[in-house]
Formats: sequence, structure tokens, C-alpha cells
Amino acid sequence: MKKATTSQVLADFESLDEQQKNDVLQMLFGQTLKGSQDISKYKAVTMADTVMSMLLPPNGEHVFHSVTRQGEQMPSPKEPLIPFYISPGKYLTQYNQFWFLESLLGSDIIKKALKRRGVVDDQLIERLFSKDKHLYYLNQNRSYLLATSNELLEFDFGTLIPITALEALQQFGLEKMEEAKEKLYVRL
Amino acid sequence: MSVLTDEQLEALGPLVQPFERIDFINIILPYEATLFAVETHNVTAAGKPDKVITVTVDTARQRLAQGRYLWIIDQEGLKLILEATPNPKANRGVVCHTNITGGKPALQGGELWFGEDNRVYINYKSGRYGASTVGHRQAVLAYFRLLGFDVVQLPIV
Repeated sequence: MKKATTSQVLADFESLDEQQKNDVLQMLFGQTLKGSQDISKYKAVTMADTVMSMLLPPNGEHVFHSVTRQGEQMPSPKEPLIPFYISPGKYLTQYNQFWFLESLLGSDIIKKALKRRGVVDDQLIERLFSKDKHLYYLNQNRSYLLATSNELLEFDFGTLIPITALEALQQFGLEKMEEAKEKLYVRL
Repeated sequence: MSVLTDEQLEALGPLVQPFERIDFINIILPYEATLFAVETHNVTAAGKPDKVITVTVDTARQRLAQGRYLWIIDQEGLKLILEATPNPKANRGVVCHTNITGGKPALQGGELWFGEDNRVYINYKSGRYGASTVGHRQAVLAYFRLLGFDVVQLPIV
């Protein structure tokens, strides 16, 4: 059997009709998808004849929470589950890193993207951050990544260099960006 | 009703929502707004905490995770929580600044260490409520001193 790339496998999968997709999923997971409410138990799958591996929520589903300004967020009970998987790449290598995306972009943006295409891969992540208008900053010798610029930070760090969210992602990755957001700045 | 004077509120403020000062939308992940009231110590109301983790001055100056506390100032005063306090349902696994406030607005926030030299070492590292002006910094130091702390402001590097 010829080796296929992740993109080729996904493209082939997308071209199948519903019954064929269910047949493939039956082989992979032992169950079929009957709409978004009926998400099967996931498991990590590595196919020997392809380079594709899928990272899936270990407990079967990822619960997105709504963003509110006050108090505890709760998942909306009426909202259908969104099936997706993570294709590991440059930015995400484990499912337990997925929350970096939610922290930086918010669940709503991610959910909207996943409803169109249920795979989180480097391409999607870069596309999402290319639309993010938030600027990050570097100090002059590029030893710190900052989540904002203000009087106090410029007082401490000197003139700051703005970079786009996409640039921050490509150069430093999700974890550094999240830490900069959480603690104002992070050492690189 | 605030325990701070109008002058203190003006110097430390305004009250901000989490992440408002850094122009991020207010994204609080699950369980990061859970109020950890029992684990939080209100210094303004209850005085300096009796039992704290003290660290060497070197540890504080290196801003190591050991013995690191999170602090915020809101309308009820200065509050502290040990950052290593478990928050197992949260992605981070430990508490963050909004676990002190319950996700509500605050005036200022940062990190703190209790030094073995009886000083407290602080910075303003909080994406959620951190200071944005030199005036804020001065007001924070003044407030800590008012509460009886011998406070040292940590440099950036």
C-alpha cells in the first residue's frame, strides 16, 4: 500500500459519501457517527500505512464553554457536540494543549471554524491567528514576548516592537503566547 | 462599598474586567472564575497572614515558582493566594488571579514572595489585572506599605 500524507488521506475521506465515511469510521472506532449528538468514544489512532495520527479528547468529547464576563461559565446544555480531531503538527502535539487555543482565541471562534471543517491542524491554526487583530510585542533584543504595550511596560523594557498574532504564533508558539497573555510577558 | 479611600481608588484604578488592560477579550477558561474564598487571605480585613511560605531572597529575586503567591487589590482590599493551590478542574491545574476575584473586576494584580528577610517581594505580572502606568506601581507600593509590609519591587530582569 502506498504511503499517503495526512492531507491526502483527509481529502480522500472528504470525497466519500456518507455511507462510505461511516464504513471507514466503523473500522477505526467500532461505531458510526449518527449526527453530532452521537459522538463515539475516541481513541488515538495511528495508521501503519499512513503518516496520519489523530489526537482526540481522551474522555470522548471536548466541552466548549461560553464566554461570560462574570462568574462561572457553564457549557450550554442545548448546544450539540462538535466532532473534531487534532492533526498533530508544529503548534499542537497533544490534546492537552488545545486549551491554549481557547485561551488565546476564545471558544466561539474555534467552534465556528470546526463546524466548517472538523480538524484542527497547523493550517487552521494559522488561519485563525491571521484573523486575530491583537498585537504582541517584543523588546529590542527579542528576549521577551509581551501581550500588550503600555506606559509601564515601555518604561521597563524600552521601545517595544509590535508583531502580529500570526507572527507570534509562527515564531514562538501557542504556549509562549498564552503565558504572555496570562502573566503580561514571558522570557523567550 | 469600598474599604479603600477615594484617593486610593483613583490612584489604583479604574476597576477593570479581567484582561481589559491588555485589550484581550475577556476569555476566562472553565473554573478560572471559581472563587477560592477559603484559600484566599484578605490582608486588609484580617491583617498579615500568619502562616506563609517564606523563600530565600534569591528565590524571590529569580521569581521562581516556589512560594509564589498571587495578589490582587479590589474594593475589598489586598488579597493573596498561593499560586500552587490546586485547581484540578482548570486546564492550568492551579489557581489564577480570577480565582481570587471570582472573575469580577479588580484594581491591580501581580505576584508576591515572602522573603526570609521579612520583606515581601512583588511584581505586577498579571495579564488579568496588572498595572499599566507608573502611577499604578507607585500606588500599589504605597498601599502595601500602608498595610505594614516592607515591600520590595522586583525589577524586570
